[in-house]
Amino acid sequence: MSFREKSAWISMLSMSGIYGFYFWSVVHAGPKAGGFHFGSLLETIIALVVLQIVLTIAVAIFTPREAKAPRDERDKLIELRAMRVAYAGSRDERRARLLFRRVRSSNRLQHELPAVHSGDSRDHALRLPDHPIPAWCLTWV
Amino acid sequence: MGMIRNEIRRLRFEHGEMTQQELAEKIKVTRQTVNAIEQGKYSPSLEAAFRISAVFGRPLESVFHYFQDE
Repeated sequence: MSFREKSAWISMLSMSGIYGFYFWSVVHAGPKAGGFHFGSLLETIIALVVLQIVLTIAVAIFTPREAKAPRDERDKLIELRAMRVAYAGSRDERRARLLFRRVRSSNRLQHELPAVHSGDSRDHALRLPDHPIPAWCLTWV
Repeated sequence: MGMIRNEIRRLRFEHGEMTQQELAEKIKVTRQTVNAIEQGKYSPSLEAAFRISAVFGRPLESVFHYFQDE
């Protein structure tokens, strides 16, 4: 396994472990804990950075020649592919978030607006403005 | 899709049992890349292919062979 491959594994495993623990603790604490805490997120990020630095230095100490070697053409190709996959992931995540937001806002309007007005709730619900889901969201789904 | 095969492994042994690491240093790539090229998992760039054939002092087409699927 090359130094860069080891480094990529360190990144993936440390991120999975530390963020996994962070999100598990947030979910486990529940909504009564007060929700988002900037301090604990900051601690998580610092722990992640420190762990990655320590592990990468440890690997570099054991394989100094590989660690010093510059990236070759295959490393660059792997990096480009990884970037493309990562970018596709973030793009899909953004689309999913937008889709979720639209569906949620549409549901909220249908449930909340009739309660504000008096009269037949079904009538209000029917007169609500339409919230069409964009075609690109449907293609993503 | 075609397929590229090579004679690198044989040529390395014919050149004083050259190791993958030694070849990698001569053509300025990593040992893992040489291994991937040898196993046919990675097709090198034209520049790297010329460097490899220069190391062995052979023309490019005697180091790399292209087989086209029918």
